[in-house]
Amino acid sequence: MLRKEAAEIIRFENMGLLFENGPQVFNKLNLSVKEGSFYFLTGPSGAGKSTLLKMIYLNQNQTAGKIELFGRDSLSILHQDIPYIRRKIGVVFQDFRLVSHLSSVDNVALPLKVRGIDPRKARNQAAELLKWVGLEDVLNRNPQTLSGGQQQRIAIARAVIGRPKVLLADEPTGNVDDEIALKLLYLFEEMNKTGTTVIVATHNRALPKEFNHPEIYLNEGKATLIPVGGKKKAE
Amino acid sequence: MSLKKYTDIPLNADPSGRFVPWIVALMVYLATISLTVAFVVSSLISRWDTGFTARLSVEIPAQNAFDPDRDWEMTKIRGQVAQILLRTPGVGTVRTLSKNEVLSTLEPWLGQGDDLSDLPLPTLLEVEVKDRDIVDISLMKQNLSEVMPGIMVEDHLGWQSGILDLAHSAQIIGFLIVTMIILAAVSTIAFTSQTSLIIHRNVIEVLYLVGATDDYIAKQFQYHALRVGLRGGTVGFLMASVTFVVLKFFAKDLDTTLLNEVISNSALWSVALLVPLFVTAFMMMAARLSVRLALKYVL
Repeated sequence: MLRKEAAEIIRFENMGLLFENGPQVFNKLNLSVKEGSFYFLTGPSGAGKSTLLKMIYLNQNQTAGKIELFGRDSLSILHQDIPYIRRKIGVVFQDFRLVSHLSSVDNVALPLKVRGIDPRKARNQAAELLKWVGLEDVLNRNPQTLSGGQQQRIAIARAVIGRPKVLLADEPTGNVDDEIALKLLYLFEEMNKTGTTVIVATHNRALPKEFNHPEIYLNEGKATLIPVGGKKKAE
Repeated sequence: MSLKKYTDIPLNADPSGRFVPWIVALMVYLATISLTVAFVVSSLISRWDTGFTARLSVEIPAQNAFDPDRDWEMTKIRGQVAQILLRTPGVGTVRTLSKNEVLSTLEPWLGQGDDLSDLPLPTLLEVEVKDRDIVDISLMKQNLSEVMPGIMVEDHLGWQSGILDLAHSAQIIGFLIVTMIILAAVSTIAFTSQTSLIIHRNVIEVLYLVGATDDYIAKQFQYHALRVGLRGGTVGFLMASVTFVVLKFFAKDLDTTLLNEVISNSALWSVALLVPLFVTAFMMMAARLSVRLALKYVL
């Protein structure tokens, strides 16, 4: 039986990024991400891992080439359409970016509230998800009163509550101990099994091998795809 | 509609916006008082418009008493004066005021008493004007002076229209003040919204990143303006109500019926209630529009 080819969900074509009075971050970068895939985005510090994720969630425009998201040219997406694209993308930020005056449950409920879902329903769903990640005791506590690991789980819950098509995680294992890091990665794998495309940016190059997923290696403005158990594949 | 839904941005905690409800209260209070003044002036205008019909007074100077010849002569003069007046184009009717009517006009100065009836009194004629534009007052005066020197013509219309113009101007100024107060409230909320956008940039960025639209963010500011407007508006309305009650108390003592009537007027109270609602509605619109523009072109 022939397996149906997965659709391309993200595509970079000769993409370049040059900051004004700054460095050339990317130069003719080509990359294709299929729906339902799982990638580790690696590279040395300053290689542009976070910047590449920013470009995927439409927080940074390229200065050359083309980026296609869900079949749409990123530069042709109108300002008022950006929120609807972002609702298909869940992001776990390196610094969590939790809203300090809101409780844990309200932080997680935010993506549902902005979609117009009744706040009570949104809070109920958020509470369920927080229980699932083991934070049922801190539902009404403000994030700054919690540990780094707890904050990270809140950030992850917020990223996944809207059932995104793409999940981007920027150094999700950077601030937690090994045990929690493993749990988080297993959680991402579970999400990937349900069809979510996952891209995890990490400086830890051992992870792709441990988890048996392909690696996108960024260096000197280019992306190199390293398949599972394989050797570097030229762009 | 739950306002709790729109509290993702902690706008209530802004130091810049802490005094806004008090500013709104003061503005609502001033707007309500200005409108009340406009109401009083408006009532005065309508009274004058109906009370002062187009009239002239003609005064024939008093003659010595107890002189039967002079009495006969006065009757003749009155007749001639009345004829001249009735022949004047634009004049409708002419009526001679009775002795009692003339005495009543003197009472405020001379008081009541039998002695007054012995005084030599002027003869007063009330002239109703049909068409003010064609009555030639100076020609009328000239013709009357030929009958008897010293006959005076009192033209109410001149100063009456002057006062009416002044009253209309006061009314317009009252409404202009209200408009300026509303504009000031609107500008205050627009500027504080801009400041809040900068203060809460981080939260707004998070909202954007989780898929919030400009409209969702603008609504946070709009409903904050609603809360501030209602809070300040209620305080302003209460302050104005207290002022009305105090004025009514003093108006009763001073027997100024007009002020009393205006304050008891249900239309004034309806307008006083509408002022905070109008100010709040304008503030909501200002907050929403200024934030939407800033989100589109600045942030």
